[in-house]
Amino acid sequence: MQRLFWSLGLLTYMALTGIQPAFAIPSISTNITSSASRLPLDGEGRSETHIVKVSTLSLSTDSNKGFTLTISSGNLEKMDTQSPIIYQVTTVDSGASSPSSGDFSVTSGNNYTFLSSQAGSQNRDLYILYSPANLQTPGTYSSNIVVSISDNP
Amino acid sequence: MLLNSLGRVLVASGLVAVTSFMASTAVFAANPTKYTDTTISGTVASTLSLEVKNPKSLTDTLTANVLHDFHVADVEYSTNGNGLNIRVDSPDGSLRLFSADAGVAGATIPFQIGIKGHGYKDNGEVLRNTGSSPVALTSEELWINSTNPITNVIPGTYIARFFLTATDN
Repeated sequence: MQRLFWSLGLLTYMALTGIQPAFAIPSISTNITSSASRLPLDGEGRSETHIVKVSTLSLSTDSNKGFTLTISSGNLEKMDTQSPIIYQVTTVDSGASSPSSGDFSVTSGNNYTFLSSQAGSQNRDLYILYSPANLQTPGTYSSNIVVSISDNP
Repeated sequence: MLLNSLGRVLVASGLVAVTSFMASTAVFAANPTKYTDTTISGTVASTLSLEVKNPKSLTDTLTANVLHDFHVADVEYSTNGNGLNIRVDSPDGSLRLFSADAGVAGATIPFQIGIKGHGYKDNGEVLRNTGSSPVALTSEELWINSTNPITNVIPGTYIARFFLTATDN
């Protein structure tokens, strides 16, 4: 009876003091390139397709099942959202050569994913692909790329 | 008796604690996710342009009692904005040809101005509105006409002053 009393007391203490078991949490950090805020947008009578490195991602997890990296894509837009410039995203091993147009397999507006299969850390370079119009409406265009990482279940 | 009651309270608290603990565990077991943002941006400069080209010489072409139309120059314009408009303004308050010769003060010939295909306009009016789409480099003819048949024109050289202004729509 006394042992039960102490066990229940211990559980009550843990609950009341917020003591919780430790779990591994994946980590992510970004090193944004200077090109990310100076994208060549053309639009002054001519344009071309651009592939630009915008960030280096540092990724890690303690989970032996690895992690899933998810990256959003969408439109570069002005405040008035007129004449948006769609962009796609992909990643390569950090330091590898730039991807080609064909490497951007996820259409704009959808999430790009990259999976690892084991614990550890790695760096990946994030690239975007976009093609402004020949006569692109003047102004400042911007977008936020949301990058997330989670442990694989 | 008191100890027995206290024991029941603690048992109940313990069940609550176990439930709370399991709930916390469930939250942590559901793949914690971390987020970060990468902001990307760039700027497109305006290409709005307007230029008067190929001015024509109108020397000795004014004739009394004849309604005149003259192709006086070409206008070349473009924009990557949502269309443009071209407006005419005279620093003299109206569109008039002045005598450029000394001693002929007061001799003027009123006129209108227009871009071919878009009608003649008066001072302060829009000569051309391209609508709401970007415009690649375009060249059109600039014409003037006298608003009335010219009578009793004093011989000599006449000049006119006006500005054309292009503005993005």
